[in-house]
Amino acid sequence: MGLYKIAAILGYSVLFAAIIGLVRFKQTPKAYRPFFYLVWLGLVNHTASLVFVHYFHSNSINGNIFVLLESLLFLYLFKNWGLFKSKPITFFVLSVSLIVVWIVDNLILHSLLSANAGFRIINAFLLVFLAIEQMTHLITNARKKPLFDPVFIICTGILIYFSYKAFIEVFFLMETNASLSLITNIYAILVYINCFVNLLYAWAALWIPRKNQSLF
Amino acid sequence: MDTQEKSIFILVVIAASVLGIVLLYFIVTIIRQQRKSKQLHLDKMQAEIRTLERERKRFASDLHDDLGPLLSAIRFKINSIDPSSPEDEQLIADVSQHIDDSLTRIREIAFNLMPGTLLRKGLVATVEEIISKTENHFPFIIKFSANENQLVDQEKSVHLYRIILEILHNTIKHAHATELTLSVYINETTVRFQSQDNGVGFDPEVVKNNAHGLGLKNLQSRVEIMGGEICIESEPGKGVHCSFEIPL
Ligand SMILES: Nc1ncnc2c1ncn2[C@@H]1O[C@H](COP(=O)(O)OP(=O)(O)OP(=O)(O)O)[C@@H](O)[C@H]1O
Ligand SMILES: [Mg+2]
Repeated sequence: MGLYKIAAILGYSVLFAAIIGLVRFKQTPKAYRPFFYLVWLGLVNHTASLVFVHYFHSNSINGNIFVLLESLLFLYLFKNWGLFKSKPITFFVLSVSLIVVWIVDNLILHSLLSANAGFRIINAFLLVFLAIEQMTHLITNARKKPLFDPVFIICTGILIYFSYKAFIEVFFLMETNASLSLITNIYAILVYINCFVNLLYAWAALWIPRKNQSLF
Repeated sequence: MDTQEKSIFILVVIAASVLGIVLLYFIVTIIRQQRKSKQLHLDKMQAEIRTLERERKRFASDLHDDLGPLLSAIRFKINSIDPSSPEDEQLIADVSQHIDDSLTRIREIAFNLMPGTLLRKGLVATVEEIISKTENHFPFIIKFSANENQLVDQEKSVHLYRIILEILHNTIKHAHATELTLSVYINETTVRFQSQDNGVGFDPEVVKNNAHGLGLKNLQSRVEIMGGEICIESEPGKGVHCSFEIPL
């Protein structure tokens, strides 16, 4: 089986989390809504990518739009988890800067039609830092066992996926004349990691508490 | 890929693996630290609660065993005075009534601080006593079912008693309920507890974010100290359900 087919199939691993989200959406606290939106958006984006690649041989347009929505939703999720509680302005500043960077990268410096690394790199680093921040908060505040704590699991997923993503994007920024087969081989690693992280998200979705339950 | 690109690819894979190992170590460290910090927190809570309960017990026994007999002696002496006029007789009767009231109050306060029955007759008897006292004052029915096949150690029974008391107080204070069901089952290995009222309930998300009360927090801490996990469920209009299980 070709790599493209494998990627197409493994990308759908997000389906598990999406379906669990569909079933549990109503029972779970509002704070977790951005997570479900993210999962569904991921599903839509993967499908869109397959369609765009089939017809236009490039998924850059939907990819570029997806990364912006994704980063804003993650930011909102962190806000709901209380990461910016002590300085609420941080959330606002970060969202606005992300949008500005995205506009500069995708509309002014480059075009929506090319896969633009600038925003992706900044976004990946930002999400990794925020995930680390959130995880260190958990050390002192969490009462649940980490492996069953949705916040911990989702942060683990973010950490794993986006640190590889940052690494790969930076690598291609340096290595500008890589051959197509090298690029594909390196992206293949990300495909497997993405699949693993999608399964982590499904696991997290299972453990999101019901909204009528409470821990103090 | 030519040979040069192959070696680049291998380098990338190695770098990725190194990154993976570092991440794994980071995650494991977080898990370990979280476990440690939770244990530390619980130990601290336990020490605090122990001190609190010890002080309560001391107050209760000081009141009940020292002040009580003293007042009784005073009453006895006053009653033995020979009144010389009807006014004096009335005065003595008044004073001895006051002393009686004080004695009753002291017994009540001592009981609230640390019920003697709890240490002598165990949890179920004490809760039954509390319930019979409460039922006269408040317009809701308490259905209490229990079996106590096994005596719980003193510290745990104090915890359990305080938990039940807090649930009772919350139901009185917030619930506007007409019925409260409590059940405690104690066997060789576990204590199983459940409570359900049919009152107004609350929205956990709202209460969690802006509650000033300590009741539910303490309740959770006490259960965690005993090695259990508490589940408090509520929705507006659906009452409050609380359950936990503790290993013995
Ligand atoms: N049985 C109940 N029915 C309805 N609401 C409840 C019930 N128990 C608790 N609550 C709600 O949960 C909140 C927190 O309860 P908690 O026991 O922690 O604090 P409190 O009772 O207000 O104060 P404290 O217990 O410290 O005296 C209450 O303010 C109340 O709104
Ligand atoms: Mg209370």
